Amino acid sequence: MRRFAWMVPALYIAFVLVPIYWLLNMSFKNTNEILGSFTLFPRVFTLENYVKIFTDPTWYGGYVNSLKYVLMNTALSVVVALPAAYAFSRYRFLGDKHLFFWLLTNRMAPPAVFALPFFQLYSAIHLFDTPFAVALAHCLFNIPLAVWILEGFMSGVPKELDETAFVDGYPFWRFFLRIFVPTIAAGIGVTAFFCFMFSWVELLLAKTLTAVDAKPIAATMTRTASTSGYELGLLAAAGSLTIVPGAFVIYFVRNYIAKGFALGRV
Amino acid sequence: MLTIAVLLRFMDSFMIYTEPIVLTGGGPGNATTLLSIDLVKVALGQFDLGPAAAMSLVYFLIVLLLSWIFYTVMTKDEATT
Repeated sequence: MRRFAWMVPALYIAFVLVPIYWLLNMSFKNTNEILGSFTLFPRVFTLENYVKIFTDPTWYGGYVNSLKYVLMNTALSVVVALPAAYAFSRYRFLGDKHLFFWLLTNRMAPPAVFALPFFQLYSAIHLFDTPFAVALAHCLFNIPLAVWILEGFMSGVPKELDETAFVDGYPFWRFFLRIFVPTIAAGIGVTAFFCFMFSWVELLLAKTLTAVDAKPIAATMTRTASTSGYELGLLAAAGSLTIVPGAFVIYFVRNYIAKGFALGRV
Repeated sequence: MLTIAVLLRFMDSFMIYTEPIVLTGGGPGNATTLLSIDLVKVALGQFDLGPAAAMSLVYFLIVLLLSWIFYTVMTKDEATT
């Protein structure tokens, strides 16, 4: 029995990787081969799908737009969540537990609920169809998440560190930026990763709050699927490319990610 | 810990939008038109803003209520958290 124990994770990994393999596989085929026959690997190896994406501005523009608002949102979420998480982790104040749980309820709110008010509000103040609109909207679920993860990491740092620094005469902001932030650098990395990921895969708000100029890649992909027939190869290539930024970011935090899952209750 | 994980999954699957809209667009017929898809259709497809706002609130309250019930039931026997 024990000899076959390795098969359980192996099967699971295969189960998870097969769709990704299939996506890559499809992205190197042309449409005829995808629709015509069932092939485990591309018979006619073609790069034209990728060439199309990298030469057509409506395609690569989608990636640029997505990256713009995702990076903005990640920076904003981490910067706002750092002091908030510090307060929740170090101080006891009236209703702190309730406020902390209330943050979680922000994550309960379905994005569909907020699509309408955001849409009207941003149209009124001319933020509609800019990356700022999406970046701000995504703060709705990313800031609570960031606070929860960072609070977990901060509570892992003993309070004596703060007290020693204050006894040594550090002003608060100097201590916070010079000592505390480097101490929880791994936590910040993990938080940034999760913010990046959730903002990157979110479709509803990103699609609703943009029209032409700031159209994200996910919205570009849904459009192509519905209008100009089924360019499955192109779609698969675009899908494979959307995996790249996440994989790139996860590389930097790969050693801390499990801790982030545990602490952030993601 | 487990409670929170299950609760988050529960909430996330309640507000699912991306997968059905990309795969089926709410069809065939109305078979996969979930609350979130219906809401976006009413709000931004037909621009019935008043009804859509009311729907948003009801939708939010449904999720909140279910999550609250879920949370109280699951944490009843563990005094921590």
